[in-house]
Amino acid sequence: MKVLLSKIAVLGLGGLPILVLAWILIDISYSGLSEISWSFLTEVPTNAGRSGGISSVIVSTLWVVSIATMISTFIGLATAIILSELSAKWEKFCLIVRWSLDILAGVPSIVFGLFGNAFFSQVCGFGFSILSGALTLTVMMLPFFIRVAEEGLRQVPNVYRKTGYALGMRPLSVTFKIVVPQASKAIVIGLVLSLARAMSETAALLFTSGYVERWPESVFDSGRVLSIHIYDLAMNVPGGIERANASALVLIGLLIAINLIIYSIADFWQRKRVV
Amino acid sequence: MNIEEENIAIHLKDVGIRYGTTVALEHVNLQIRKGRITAFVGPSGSGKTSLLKSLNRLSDLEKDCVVEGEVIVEGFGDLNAEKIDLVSLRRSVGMIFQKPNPFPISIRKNFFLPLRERGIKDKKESDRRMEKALKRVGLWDEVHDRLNERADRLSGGQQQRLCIARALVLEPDILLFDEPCSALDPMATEVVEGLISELRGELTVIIVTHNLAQAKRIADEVAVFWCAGSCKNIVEFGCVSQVFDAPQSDFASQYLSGQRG
Ligand SMILES: Nc1ncnc2c1ncn2[C@@H]1O[C@H](COP(=O)(O)OP(=O)(O)O)[C@@H](O)[C@H]1O
Ligand SMILES: [Mg+2]
Repeated sequence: MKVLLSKIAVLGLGGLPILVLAWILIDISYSGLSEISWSFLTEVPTNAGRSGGISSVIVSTLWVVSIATMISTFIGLATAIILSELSAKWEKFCLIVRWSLDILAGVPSIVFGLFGNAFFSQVCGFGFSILSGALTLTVMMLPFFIRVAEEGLRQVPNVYRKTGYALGMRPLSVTFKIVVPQASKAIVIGLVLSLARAMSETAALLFTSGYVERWPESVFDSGRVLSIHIYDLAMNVPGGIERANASALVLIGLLIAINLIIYSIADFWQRKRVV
Repeated sequence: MNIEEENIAIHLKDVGIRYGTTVALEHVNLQIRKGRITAFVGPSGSGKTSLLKSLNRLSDLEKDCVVEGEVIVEGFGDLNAEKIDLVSLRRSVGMIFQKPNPFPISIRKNFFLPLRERGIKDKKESDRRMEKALKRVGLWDEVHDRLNERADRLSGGQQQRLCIARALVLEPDILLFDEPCSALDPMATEVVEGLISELRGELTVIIVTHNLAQAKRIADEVAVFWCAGSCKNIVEFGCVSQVFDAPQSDFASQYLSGQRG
């Protein structure tokens, strides 16, 4: 009886995410799958997205997300390292930084959108552009990524740091050759999860990267990302729901592909650094 | 005890160590002879590890740890007074910990990382030095065909020998062992003990041990630590036979005969 109950608990709780994902996939595939074709992937949208494809939208999405991911990886990792490795020396400062990050993580994304519009679009003069959107996303992704990475770095047992120092290694080498590699799993998970959030973000991008559906010529061009395209088709375009679902399928497909790529790179690197 | 200047590897003058306001050791005066094996014995919490860590400034990593007095290490001067290059100090004064602590990476890389820091960037040269060090600790035959496997998958005794080899590969002058056998089985203990004995004459060795028989077997000199009330000090220091057979202080005689501690 006990065994049965625990089995039910395991399958029920563990299976929940699978069920939710399956439901969503079935739901959007039901009306969206038939819309997906080669031309849907390669043509630019016409007639507000009712016809044509989503190629420019995919390109804008990749631009925004890859710029945001790259910047937040560097800044985020550096900040996480400072928070975990220097917190003994800079105790108070780190406490305040951490506290600010935890608050920022809970700020609604529309607020980031308004901030990005005011700061990146107007103060910095980037206007409605892929760059403004990417930077806004970066600011939004960072708190979560930093805290996850920091927690991963903290989990690395202190004895390895001491061992490194006892072997005459310099502080930076101890951090980058010993501590960071050992925290790589947490760092990668933090990256994948914040990237997923960036891919699906709508509100923060509405007022920053904008909704122009043209093919972007440069990062200073406005560009419509997938999530905004989906939102627009579903909310503002009568008869757009099938194409919204099709775009959502593409979004999920992209997400799966990117995750697979990141995990396999991380796996390869993990194996290489051990030997 | 008076030793000629050139035979002293470490000279402690009125050294005190505290953590914040908690005093771990006070008024320690000690001269460690070059090329000899000195054992630190004494009950837990008597400050043996603390003193060891002050010798290569690993004490810097402990929160609120303050070392006072003069800690004079040959080639570096007073560690408390001068601006010390910690990186070269720690290469020169190596340390083996109680629990074997190989990095969770391959055996080969455990050597390559510290060697590369020391300027040996060539993998072949690194491998050559690794082989020499592993042969020295008698581990080569056991691991030569699995150098790319993770070092932390070896047995405890093998891991500890690897750590000794990894310290030796940096060619230190002084090697500190903090209870190196306390996590090992009797067979592995015997092997490691033999290894340490073989370092006599070549390196200056300090070994913390709870095993008095072990101290008797391998050490030339013994320092007995004691911590009771206001006494937080080394209560007895001298060559093994003298300290064990005719201890001067009451604390030491009681501790060494197993009545206290
Ligand atoms: N990192 C630390 N922070 C605070 N107190 C410490 C620390 N390390 C050791 N101590 C204290 O210093 C004293 C000596 O400890 P230690 O040097 O580890 O002794 P031993 O190695 O002889 O067992 C003990 O009272 C211990 O509680
Ligand atoms: Mg100790």
